[in-house]
Amino acid sequence: MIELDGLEKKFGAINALAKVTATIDGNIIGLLGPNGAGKSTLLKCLLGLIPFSGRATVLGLSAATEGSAIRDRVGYMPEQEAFLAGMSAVELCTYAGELSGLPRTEAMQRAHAALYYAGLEDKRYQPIDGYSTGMKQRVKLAQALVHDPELLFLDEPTNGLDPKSRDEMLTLITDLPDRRGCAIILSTHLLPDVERVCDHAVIMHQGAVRFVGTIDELRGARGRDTELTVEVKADAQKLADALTESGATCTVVSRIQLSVDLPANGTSELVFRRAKDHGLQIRGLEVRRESVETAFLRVLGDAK
Amino acid sequence: MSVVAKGCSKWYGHVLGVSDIDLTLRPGIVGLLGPNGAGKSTLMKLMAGLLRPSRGSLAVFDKNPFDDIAVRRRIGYAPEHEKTWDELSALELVTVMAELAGVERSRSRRAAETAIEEMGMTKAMHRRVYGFSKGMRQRTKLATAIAHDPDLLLLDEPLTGVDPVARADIVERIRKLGEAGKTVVVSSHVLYEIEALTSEIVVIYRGQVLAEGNVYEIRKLIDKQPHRIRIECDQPHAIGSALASAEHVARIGFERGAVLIETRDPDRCYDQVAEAVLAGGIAVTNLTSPDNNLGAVFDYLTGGAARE
Amino acid sequence: MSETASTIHDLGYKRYLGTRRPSSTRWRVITRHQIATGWKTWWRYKAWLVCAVINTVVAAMFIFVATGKTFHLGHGLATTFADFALPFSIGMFNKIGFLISLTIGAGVIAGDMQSGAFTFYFARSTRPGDYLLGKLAGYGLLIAIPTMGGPFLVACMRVGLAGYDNLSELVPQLWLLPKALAVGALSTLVYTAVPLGWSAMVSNKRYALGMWAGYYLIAGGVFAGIGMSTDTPLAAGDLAISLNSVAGYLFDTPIREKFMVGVTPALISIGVQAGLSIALIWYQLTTAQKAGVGGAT
Repeated sequence: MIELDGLEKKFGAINALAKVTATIDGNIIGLLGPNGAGKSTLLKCLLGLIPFSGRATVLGLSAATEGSAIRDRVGYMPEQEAFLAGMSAVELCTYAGELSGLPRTEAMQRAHAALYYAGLEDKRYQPIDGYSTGMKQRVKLAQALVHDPELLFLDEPTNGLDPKSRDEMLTLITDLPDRRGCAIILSTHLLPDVERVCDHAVIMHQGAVRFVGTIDELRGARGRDTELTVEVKADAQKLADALTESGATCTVVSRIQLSVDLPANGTSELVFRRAKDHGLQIRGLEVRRESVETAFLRVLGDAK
Repeated sequence: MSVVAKGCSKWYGHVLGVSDIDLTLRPGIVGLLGPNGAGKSTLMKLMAGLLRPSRGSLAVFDKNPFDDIAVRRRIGYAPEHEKTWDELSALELVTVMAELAGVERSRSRRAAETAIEEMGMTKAMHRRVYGFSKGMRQRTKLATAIAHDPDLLLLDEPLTGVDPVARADIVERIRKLGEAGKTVVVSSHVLYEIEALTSEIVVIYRGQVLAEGNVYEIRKLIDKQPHRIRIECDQPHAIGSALASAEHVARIGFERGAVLIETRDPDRCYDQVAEAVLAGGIAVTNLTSPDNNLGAVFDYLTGGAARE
Repeated sequence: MSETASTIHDLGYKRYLGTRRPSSTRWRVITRHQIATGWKTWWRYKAWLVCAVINTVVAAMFIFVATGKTFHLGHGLATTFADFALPFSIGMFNKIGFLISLTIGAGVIAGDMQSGAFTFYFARSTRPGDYLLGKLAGYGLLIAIPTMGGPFLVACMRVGLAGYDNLSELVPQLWLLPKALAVGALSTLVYTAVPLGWSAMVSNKRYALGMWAGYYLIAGGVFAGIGMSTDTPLAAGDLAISLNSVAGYLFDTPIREKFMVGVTPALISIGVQAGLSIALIWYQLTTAQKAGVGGAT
């Protein structure tokens, strides 16, 4: 989908992108990295908005020479406000469609469809100036969808949304590849969102790509069944002591939580039995797995 | 008690800010949650002494923050917006704000430097704020709020736009402040940020306090929603049938490789599940309570239970 | 009983398989949008259009009613009402052009910058050239209707019905038409390009408005004052004076030498200011295209 080969961009002495070579593919891809890592520079290069050295192709088109064509097939949902004053949502989306080359009637139909998808059915005729933050985010999503893109760039789509709206936005995003046939690149600082929604990830740091691959590859496949996190109603230490006697290795994390490495041939039954023996109640049991956040920090730490 | 509000209401003409708030806050970190427009910012500004209650009272350390300058000097407020004097350097900015908060001239620079170091901004402190990234601005804002060593800290969305590296760092520093005995009120929409900081929450809904206290205790109080317990194992139906006859079970559902139990008495349920597991020699790979977290609690409170 | 089977229609999503309009026509979308926006409220444009109509009626009265009466311009200069109708109405049409530049012009690009529209435009396949051409064409058309259409109409009236006896008298009169169009074209250029230039340089609608008005009125006045007192063509720096001078020259209106400059300095002044404005707009657009997309990180 996106191929980079020796992509380099300097701003004066600053190396914004340092000879990046990578192939980016997937359904919903998280683009992660600290501030200043080069994410926005990468985006500008891929959209053909700034010159660079090296090669970059998006959807088979060269970013250096066919930038306009790329932007016709890519939708961008910006982080900041990007509206025209005094227009309603329908007018804005229709205008957006026309600017991407659609004939007027087609643009209008698709504008309505995009606004339905984004959940703005009721309010779409009202001027955007009066919209709440959540509604504005939805309009930004709709205007990115109206011209039937094959790829979407979403920049912090849940910015400023309250928990319910955030949830709805993430559901919209998750459904997009199936319902609209487009792939998504999601740029965000909220790693739990990435954990929930993405299947692939690209991590950037100081102008270089540190990781490209699936989320599973990032955090290690589901850990071995013998490494567990156990939660008890109370007195984790007591359970830890009991399990240690049976040959497990335990670390007490808090009053109610402990990490357990079962002995060879041990199963979770051992945990339940020991708990029952000592009158303790098991309230949680999970195979230990690195969260995306921990994995991310690890990747960055390794890079240093 | 750090903050005591009694029957506190604030109206802006016809617009409702908060209505009839009774609240007590103690030292430690408390999360302030609520949908947009519910009144969180109004409550914060009342606590910061920027607004006067239209009715009722709100006392900080037993004084009225709107009138009492001495108590205002014990309050640090980091608002959501970032408009500030961009042309100053970080150090100059924090120094000026510290002086405005009552720190003497002679000490202000040192206090500012300490605060900046606390927030990990020492390397950049002589640079102008103008060129700062979002994360650096947030850190500078936080340094401003703590420079005068306040006892009450009000942080409105302190982690917006902050990258994950900086986030982990700032969360750690806020936690240390809470452990040091300060009262820290953190307002955020991103529930896992709050979860990382504290289990004590106050939920504001439609201008009123909907719930306060420990998340897990609040969860127990939400009767209408039976507790959900999910068990991934090799014999889900065995567990299901073992619990089907229990009176406290409201519903049993099955997914591939898992059984989902809704119960009104989670305590008894956990015991019975453990018995069933041991009796049937069932291999359990995952046992969780999917709705025993802040997100679910918030959802139940503002979505269902609140609609009375 | 009907034989057709019952169906549930799949209202699912259909990809767009049609053609896309070529890049080179995108500017027309922007032009149409600009005109539609200008037309939206009463006070933005329609009110001034009404003024232009009234102005035309007044000019008609000069031509048909007062026809041969003498109009005293003061200082011993005089001409007939009929002859004065055209330069007088041109002066008024220019004022209307200036007013439209205040209600629409100065805010066109500045408003877009303020509301984040550049991100909107340039994340799509809109190129700076499309935007520039589209805005100039759209807004320019709105200006051209009073500043070119108005004088042309008055010129037609002057030619058509001011009376002539035979063909040889008509032909020289006909020259009024292209002259009116030429003057109108210059006015359109002035009131389109220069306010848009200010609009592009000042990223706040209100300040852009103030800067343009201030530049036109005050800086213009300064140029005029210096020019008049030092007796140099510097007064051409005032756009209004330049336009009036060209009109006065083309239509042989007796105006005091003091308030006129030569045609060459006038044309140079207009050309430079308009050209500079367009260059500035172009510069701002190309910068925005690179910066506007991608956010702060």
